[in-house]
This record gives sequence, C-alpha cells and structure tokens, in this order.
Amino acid sequence: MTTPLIDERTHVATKTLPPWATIVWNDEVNLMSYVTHVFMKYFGYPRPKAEELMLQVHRQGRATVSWGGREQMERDATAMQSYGLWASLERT
Amino acid sequence: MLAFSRRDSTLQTLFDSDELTVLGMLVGELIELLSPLCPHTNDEIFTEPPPFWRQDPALNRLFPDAYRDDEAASAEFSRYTMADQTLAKTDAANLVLTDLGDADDGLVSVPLDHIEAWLITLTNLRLVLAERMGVDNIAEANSMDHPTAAVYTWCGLILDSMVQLL
Repeated sequence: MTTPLIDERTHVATKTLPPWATIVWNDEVNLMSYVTHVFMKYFGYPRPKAEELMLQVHRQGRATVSWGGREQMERDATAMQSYGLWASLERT
Repeated sequence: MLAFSRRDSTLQTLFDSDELTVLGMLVGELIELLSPLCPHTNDEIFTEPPPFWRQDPALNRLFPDAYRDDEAASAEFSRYTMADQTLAKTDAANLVLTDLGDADDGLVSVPLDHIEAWLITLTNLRLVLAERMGVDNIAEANSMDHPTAAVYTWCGLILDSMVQLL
C-alpha cells in the first residue's frame, strides 16, 4: 500500500511549507495618516508599530505587514485591498 | 469645508451646497463604476469577473493583483474575492450618500459606525481620480491647476481631518 505513505508525505510537506506574508506596497495616493489608521484598526497594532510599518512602506517601497498561512494571508491581503491599500501576498 | 469635529457620537462638518453636490456626484460615479462588477444573484458571486475591468486602470487599482508573480493565482483570487469586495465598496459608498442626503443646511453628521465607510469611500475616490488624472505623484497633483486635482486634494483633506479625530 503506497497511497497512505504518499498522503502522509504530502501532509508533512504541507505542514513544513514556509509561511506566507502580506505585503503592502507604496503608492502616491494613500495618506500616511490613513495607512497608519488601517494598520491599527485591522491588525490591532499599537500606534508606534503601525507608524513604523507605514514609514517602511513609504521609504522602502514595501513592508511585510503580517505572516501566516496562505488562507489567513489571503484574508489579510483582501482586507488591505478593501481599505484601498496596494496589497499582495507572497511566500516568505 | 471646515475640518471635521467630534460632537456627541458623530463627526460633523459643514459643507456648502457646491461641496455637497460635488461629493455626492463623485460618490454616485464611483457606484456607477462598480455596478457592472456587482453580482446580481448568489450564483454570480464566484463567477469570473467581466473581462473589461482589466482594461480600466482605475478598476485595476481598486482590485490589484494579489499574487504579483502568478497570474493564474491572481485570477483565482479575483474570482473569489472581487464580488464581495465590490459589494463592500458599494455599500460603503451608499452609506456616505445617505449621510450627505441627511445633511441639514450643510451640516453633515457622520455616525461613528459610518466612519470606516467614509474613509474607504474617500480613498476609493482618490484612487480613481489619481488614475483618471494619470498622476502618480501627490506633489504633482497638488500643483496642478485643474478641477480634478483640486477635488482630489479636497477629498484628501476631508479624509485626513476625519482620521485625525480617531
């Protein structure tokens, strides 16, 4: 019986996949105050952390705003997009 | 327009009649822009979004690719999220229209539970206006002697004055 073995390997492989990340990209439209607000509101980040991430987006062009499994990152990216932020997700 | 201020459980500002008209018109246009993407029945929620949205830079900016290096995954993501996102953006815009419609002699009162809808709608408007102007630099927009640029900047002032109170 080879099938269970394959299943088990697939399962192990799935569990050890590197986590995903939600990225917010810099754009020239969104206000710094608003981006900070969104990070505080959605992720519950304290203001200093939200401001640090906002400045990272502004100065470096992008910031990783959350990490996790793919489904959670899809939810986070959707939420960022629904706020009008330029967001995507990628493997870390 | 005066900056928003907090009063009781609302944020309030005074718009003159031109400002009320312009903002109402822009929000109406946003709803119109989104309407072809709105699902009309539950069956349509997970169907392919109509292909024309790819040709419109403003819609592309409202619904950016979720996977930058994977076109197929991005298309799949759009298929599963776009209808919901369109409805959410439209609902938010309608809440703004409601508050504008309830303005009393120019006094606009935004209940606390409508604030996110205002922020999101003003942001969506600015994203669309920026794409329509072809401007990707705020400084450039601010220096443009153009009605659209003025409206774009004005929407930013409203948005910022609300965020400052949160």
